[in-house]
Amino acid sequence: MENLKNEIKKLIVESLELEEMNPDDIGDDVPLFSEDGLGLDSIDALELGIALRKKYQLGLDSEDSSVREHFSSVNNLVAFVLGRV
Amino acid sequence: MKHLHSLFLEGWPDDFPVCHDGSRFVSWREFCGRIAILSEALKSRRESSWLLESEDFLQFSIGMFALLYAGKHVVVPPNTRPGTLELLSSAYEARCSCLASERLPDQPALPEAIDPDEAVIDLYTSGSTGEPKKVRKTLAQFEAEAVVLESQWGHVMGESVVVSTSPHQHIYGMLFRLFWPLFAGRTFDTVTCSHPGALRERMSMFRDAALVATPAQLSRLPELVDFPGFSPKPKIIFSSGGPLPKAAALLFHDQWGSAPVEVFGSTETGGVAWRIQGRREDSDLWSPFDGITVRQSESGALLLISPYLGMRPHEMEDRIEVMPGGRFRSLGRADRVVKIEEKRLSLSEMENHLDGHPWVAQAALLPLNGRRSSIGAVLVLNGEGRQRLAAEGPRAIAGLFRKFLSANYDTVLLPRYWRFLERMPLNERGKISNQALSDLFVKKKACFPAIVNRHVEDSRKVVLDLEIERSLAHFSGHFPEMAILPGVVQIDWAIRYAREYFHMAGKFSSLENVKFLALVLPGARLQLTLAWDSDSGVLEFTYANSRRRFSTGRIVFGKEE
Repeated sequence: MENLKNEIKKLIVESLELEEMNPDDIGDDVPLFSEDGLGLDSIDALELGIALRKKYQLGLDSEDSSVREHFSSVNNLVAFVLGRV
Repeated sequence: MKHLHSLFLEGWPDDFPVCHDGSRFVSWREFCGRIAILSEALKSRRESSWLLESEDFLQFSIGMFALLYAGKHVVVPPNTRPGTLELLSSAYEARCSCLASERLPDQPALPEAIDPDEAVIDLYTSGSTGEPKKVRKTLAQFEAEAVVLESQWGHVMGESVVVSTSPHQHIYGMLFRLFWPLFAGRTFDTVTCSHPGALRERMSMFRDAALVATPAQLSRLPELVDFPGFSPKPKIIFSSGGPLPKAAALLFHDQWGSAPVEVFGSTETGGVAWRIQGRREDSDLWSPFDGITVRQSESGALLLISPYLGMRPHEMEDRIEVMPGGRFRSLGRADRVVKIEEKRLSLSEMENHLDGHPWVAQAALLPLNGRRSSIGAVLVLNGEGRQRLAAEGPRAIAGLFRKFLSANYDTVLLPRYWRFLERMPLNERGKISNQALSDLFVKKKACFPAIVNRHVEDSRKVVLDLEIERSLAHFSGHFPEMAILPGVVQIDWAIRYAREYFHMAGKFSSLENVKFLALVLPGARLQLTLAWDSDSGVLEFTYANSRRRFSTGRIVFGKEE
């Protein structure tokens, strides 16, 4: 669990090429797509989707309308990956 | 085909599904009824110009027609950020969204025809100067464009429902998602699909679908879904906002039978040309739409003669090369307006904005092209700004600047990379040197090898398996004619790793018996063995692989301080 969390943080920093940012700097519950949090944008959402798909073979094209929520924080991403793998 | 300016006189059948709102089809009868009620309420109001900013596409559509048919002037903001609405506050007298909750009269008669040349819609785009630039359109222009689109692709569209991943508040979405379908009698989907799951869900609801999208989304779709198996496939895909990368177009071509139809245009000009990329060499050329002529101006820019602009020659900021036969190749933009994932941004405008920040002495922006296009910001701060930078660090300060800009700009446009300098780098002519600016954003190369494996034998001995990657900073420049790992770097690594694994507090004192036996070349895999004798303060190191030793030596440390 803790491992997966760190792995996903690393994936975010690396796949989105975030600068001045270490995986540890991302809080588990920090909103990823808000300027009060990490400030990621719609293109990052697509890029992150691609990275997650490559790493965990996650199908994001399922008819699941709650993708926005899965992507809202590291904790939600962890739950999402655990639920799918 | 029904004229948009006499839509309710000509009319579609009562049960024609105008749109699907996410849970149900909305009939023509209901759609007209809601427009009539709102339009009637608007007619009794004195204000003539109205802001239309609804995020809900059905509301937006009803608002649009209600306003136009009430003889009101429609103002569509470029985005709904508070700073933007504030900037535009003198451009409108009332907001359409404030009316929805008012008590409305009972079912009034449907509005009659209006004059399409008098039905005005103001859109905004980023100009090269500073303020958002107003672009006045008329319903007549949208109607004329819908006629051209229908004659070109109507037969391919058939009865497709228009599904989209692009917003309805910009000219592309407005024309392709609202005006064209209503003109041609096609159902449109009011849901804007933000991810491929939603797209598949929406498309599977309709027998046939046409997709209105942008290159940012389309170029990533093949990596986000099981592309060959994605079903149902759209009957036709439109892409506008910028060029679709050739590689992405070819994937669509090979896997889905046809590449998207790309539309070249701008808010000011409307549609100019189209292309469908493929394996033919000339498939990157753009073909002007019927009735449009494209020439090359003296400065190499696109000179447009279009019926949507009254046939007055209009010079665009795109540089082009015109081919015999009238098709043309696009060579990029000439001004300081850039496209970041299809969103247009004036660098000068954002620089002015940053210059207005109380901590900024001077701001310079430049477009960066990496995995994705983005903006790099270089700031020279004033005294107060420098104090805050020293106190809070670059990341926190960059975050504050992003937040400052986010009052006016879409998140996609916010600079991703920030550099804080004492002064701007100038070239010999005294202008800011673009080369020096872009050098600031060259990725820092790694200075340490990848550790593939480690065995800590005890508190005095550790063995590290290293991979000496070619991308290491040390391989550039030390011996220009030949890339080798410098000996001084090997010693530095030995000390650095030793301090990580052993308790070594003393200062470096001397080197003994250091031998460089063979050259370490890029791509080598080798083992670093470190042995620490705390009594004597001596660190022994050996770089070796299974066949030979590359270097050995002893590093002596002084007593703990």
